[in-house]
Amino acid sequence: MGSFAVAPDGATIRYRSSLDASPAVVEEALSGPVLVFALALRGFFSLHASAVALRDAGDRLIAFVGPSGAGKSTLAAVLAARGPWVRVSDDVLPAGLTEEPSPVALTEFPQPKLAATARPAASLPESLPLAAVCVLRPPTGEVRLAPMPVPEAALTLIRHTLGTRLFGPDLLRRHLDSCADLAVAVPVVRLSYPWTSEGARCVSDALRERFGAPS
Amino acid sequence: MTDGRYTTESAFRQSSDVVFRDVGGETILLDSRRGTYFALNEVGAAAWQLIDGGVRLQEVCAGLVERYEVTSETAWTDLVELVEELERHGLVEIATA
Repeated sequence: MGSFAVAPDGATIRYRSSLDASPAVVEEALSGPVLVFALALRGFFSLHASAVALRDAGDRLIAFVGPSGAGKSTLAAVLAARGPWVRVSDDVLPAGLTEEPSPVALTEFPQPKLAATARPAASLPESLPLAAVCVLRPPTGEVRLAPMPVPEAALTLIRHTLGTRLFGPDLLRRHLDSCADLAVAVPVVRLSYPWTSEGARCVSDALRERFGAPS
Repeated sequence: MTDGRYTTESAFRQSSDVVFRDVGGETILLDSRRGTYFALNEVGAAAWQLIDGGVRLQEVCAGLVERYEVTSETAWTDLVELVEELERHGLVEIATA
């Protein structure tokens, strides 16, 4: 496939081709682990998360993390199907505290799983404030949002970060610091809800009430 | 006092691969070589801090008794359990005088 070299500050990625390189495989690596690694060097650690932007008085992002089958993509799609939500990510959400004290997440990570038509409108800024991270739990009879204690929140963010096996000791340290700071700055909540269309509407209302711009 | 492999004279230090970070009243340890994480509650974190620098377990135990108003038997039992766990994961090393 060839090899990638990422500058220590994450600003440039060099690719050395090999004869058998398939463009599709190179693109997949570049827009996957290589980019995740370069962003980490720039202070953005990529959550394995779907995300929606709430477009009201002040645009902001809400991320959904959870195990496979927990409904991350579905919830983002269902929310986006009804306003005022815009689907931003299906799989990868780089988040960081590079503009302290407000955590932000990037809206433009390449998302192979999202069809071109489902990609967010180009009107979204490159980054938006990250208002909350919701950890999806099995369905319940009513919508429940339960804040996580900070230490557990930090470990949850660590666990749901992509690409950490590529990190050396120094980057792992910075990742720990970033997750610890994020866990203090961003509410991390357990979210469970009925998996029905009524349930999705209630989630929308609950998230807007809890994390929307004050009216 | 002795407890299995440990005596009050045993002394440890934090492994140089470990970094730790205070997070909301608890402490998360990162083994930066293996990329693994451990969470310590407040008492565990206090013991972790006291352990460093080759301090004898007797003194660590005394520090816990003073800080948390527990009996020395209770503090010793918890301390041995913690040190065993930390040593098993390579987070502390036996300090040689």
